[in-house]
Amino acid sequence: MMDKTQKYIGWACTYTPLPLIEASGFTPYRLLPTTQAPDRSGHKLHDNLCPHIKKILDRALDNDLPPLAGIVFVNSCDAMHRLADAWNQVRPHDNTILIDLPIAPPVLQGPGALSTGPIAPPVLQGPGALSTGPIANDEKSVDFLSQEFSKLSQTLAEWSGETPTKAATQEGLSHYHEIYNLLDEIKNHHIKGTLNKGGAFMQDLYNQAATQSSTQTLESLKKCLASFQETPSLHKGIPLFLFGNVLPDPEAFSLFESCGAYIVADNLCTGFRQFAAYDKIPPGLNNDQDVFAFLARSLLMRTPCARTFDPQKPLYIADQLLAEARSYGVRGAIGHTVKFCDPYLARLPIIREVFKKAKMPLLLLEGDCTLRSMGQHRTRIEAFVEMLG
Amino acid sequence: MISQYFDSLISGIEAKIKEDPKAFHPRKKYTLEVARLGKRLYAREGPIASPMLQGPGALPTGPIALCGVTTPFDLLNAMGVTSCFVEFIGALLASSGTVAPFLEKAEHSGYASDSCGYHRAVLGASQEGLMPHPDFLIATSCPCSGGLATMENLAHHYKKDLFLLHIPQDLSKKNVDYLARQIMEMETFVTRHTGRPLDPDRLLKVIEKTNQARELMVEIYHLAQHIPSPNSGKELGNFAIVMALLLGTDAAIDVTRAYRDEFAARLHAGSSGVPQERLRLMWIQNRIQFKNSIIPDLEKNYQASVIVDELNSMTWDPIDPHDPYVGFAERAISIPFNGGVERRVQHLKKLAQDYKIDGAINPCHWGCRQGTGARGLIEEGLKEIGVPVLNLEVDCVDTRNYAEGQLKTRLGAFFEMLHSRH
Ligand code: SF4
Ligand code: SF4
Repeated sequence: MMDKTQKYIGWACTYTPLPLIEASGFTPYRLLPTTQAPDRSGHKLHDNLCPHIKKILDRALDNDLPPLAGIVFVNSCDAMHRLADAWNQVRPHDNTILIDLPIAPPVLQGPGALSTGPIAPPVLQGPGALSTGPIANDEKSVDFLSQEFSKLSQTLAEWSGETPTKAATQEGLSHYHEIYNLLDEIKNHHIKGTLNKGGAFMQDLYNQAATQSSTQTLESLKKCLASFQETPSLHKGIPLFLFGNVLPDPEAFSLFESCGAYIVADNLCTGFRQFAAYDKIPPGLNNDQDVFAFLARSLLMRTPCARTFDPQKPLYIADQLLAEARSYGVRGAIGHTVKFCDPYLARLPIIREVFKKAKMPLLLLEGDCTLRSMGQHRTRIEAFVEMLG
Repeated sequence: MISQYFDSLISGIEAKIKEDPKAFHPRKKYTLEVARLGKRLYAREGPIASPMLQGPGALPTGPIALCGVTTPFDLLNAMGVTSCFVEFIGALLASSGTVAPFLEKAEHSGYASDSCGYHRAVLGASQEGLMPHPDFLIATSCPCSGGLATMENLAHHYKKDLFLLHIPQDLSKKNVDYLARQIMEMETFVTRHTGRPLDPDRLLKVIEKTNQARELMVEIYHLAQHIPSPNSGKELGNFAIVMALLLGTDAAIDVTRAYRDEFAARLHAGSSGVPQERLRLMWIQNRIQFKNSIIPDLEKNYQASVIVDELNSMTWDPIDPHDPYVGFAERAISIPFNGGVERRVQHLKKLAQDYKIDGAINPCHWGCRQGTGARGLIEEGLKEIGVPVLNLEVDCVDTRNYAEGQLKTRLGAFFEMLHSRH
């Protein structure tokens, strides 16, 4: 439900630094791809783009949105960039900004790592040479993203007419840190089975946290925990791990359960991953630059989605997902991706291979962000669960 | 197998040159250099034992790198590395009519048939052992997410080191410096893999050659704008994107000079690329890479000539030999596929106006979220200046679903409409 007193900033990619939006007096509002709006975006762009961004554009075309003071886009993949382009065309009066995002996390250690010492090619001396020597690759992507966040912060200040105070920035950071902690606590009860409320409940919490102010989220999460009474573990179904890109409809989780599955944990960009960067807020973030660098580093280093990769560990995502699945002691995994998503599509073959070698049963599903598309997979999900039973 | 294909292509063209050096068309020279590059890339077909290619048993090609589209190939040429962007191989496989089994192989291995055909072709070919075997790889974030994913897969497949260039979105000083630094680090990475540091004198010479070829390209594009145009539909297909691979070499200068001279001679003689040119067309993004009769058909039946391709334009300044990394960075950032669609549309509008274009064809290569993804926005942008766009539905690499008859019907209707406006 929309709160008319809030000034919303739309966002669509989980690399968006939510505390910065809050620090400027706005409420970050995730543009979730859930809508009854007619399907018109394919005509604006092309049908070959992922339904995640097409449905968001359909919302924009159909005005199925709260009033937005601005929208923060992130250049995380081609589809996201095209969404930003199309948005500017269909809603030319909206305030928008596009954040450019490095591809690699700042982890370049181990064999084959680039030396971090200065490189001084002979041609780069004298007038016109770059002012500083190359910085270590380790810092380069953080440094680049920090500067993008600095630009974002200035832009948000222009949109709001106020420069964020140090106190507001600290509050934004600490609120999201607290949201992380509370969601983590609730999630752990869900993993153990003692929450006993089902996956739809968890997804609903994530959706709320992504679309309402941190104060409201904290209130509802605290209320949830206050009324929580630990029940004996009541796993009702085959424990499974779910990964992929977007699956925001809580009903999808009920559907899994009705097929006999219990989604213990997920690695989805509409799930807990949205808040995973706020696990630690180091003390002593004394100035804006430190805050930008911290957010850049923690967003780039949190559990990556398929679009971010370390060139020194090609396709490591497959091992990482397997390790994650194993850490939850599940009996199998479901990979759910939306159609036309290049970042995931190109990594699924290796994910399948790694899971197969490790004898971790895996079911791959393709959807279009609607419950209808999930419903079409019901028989496959049931058969998978039955096989594991 | 592929090496033999290039051998016979090279010897065929060379024989023709010998026969009649004067009747030699610049496109043949271009094909000859492409074939020579192909031969170098495939000179050591089959797995190799060691990436270090020095000492006895070293191969004449030197080290080989598979790259992303916006890699500074002249820097690699200066460092003695034979390289190409991987989509070049996808296009070669399509143009030689051998691509279908590789696409099938990729699809059977789980790569989605919805993804870009260039990448599927390359992934299939790597599994069949028919890609050039790289010593290392360099991925670039521009033009596309699909390309990055392909490079990550190839690095994993070949178990070779991968370097990543993040190409930022605009030409701000911060972005240029950021990329220039990455390119310097790339140079260190390459040195580490080849054992050969960059020779600064060689780099200076290479940059001089890059700039010479650049000047000639500017002249070619300028000449092609004449009415009627000395250019015709197939002559400059894939030109600038492939020339990027040859930058810094004599081959680039030879090829560009041949085109410049040929176009100047045609203008001097009052002849045009397409006799009685009536309609002037712009081709958006990629050409259809496999053999097809669309272009000859539209030239013959409608006197319509493709006189400019989106990528055949100069978007970068000469490289300053004393500050080359900045020049390389600016060049990579400047390509029309980088940045927002608004910039791309401005670029297309300018081309349409400079070349006095009547209409544009966008093949809408299936699987390309980067370029084709913006189809609707491009069409609307060009409509604003009165340039109609024909959007086709083609996979520029995959021959299997190609339905030329249907395309021709749509082209026919489009040209009727253009003729009626004329
Ligand atoms: S990562 Fe995939 S699902 Fe997400 S916006 Fe990009 S293409 Fe769409
Ligand atoms: S056609 Fe599109 S997806 Fe394919 S390589 Fe080119 S830019 Fe990338």
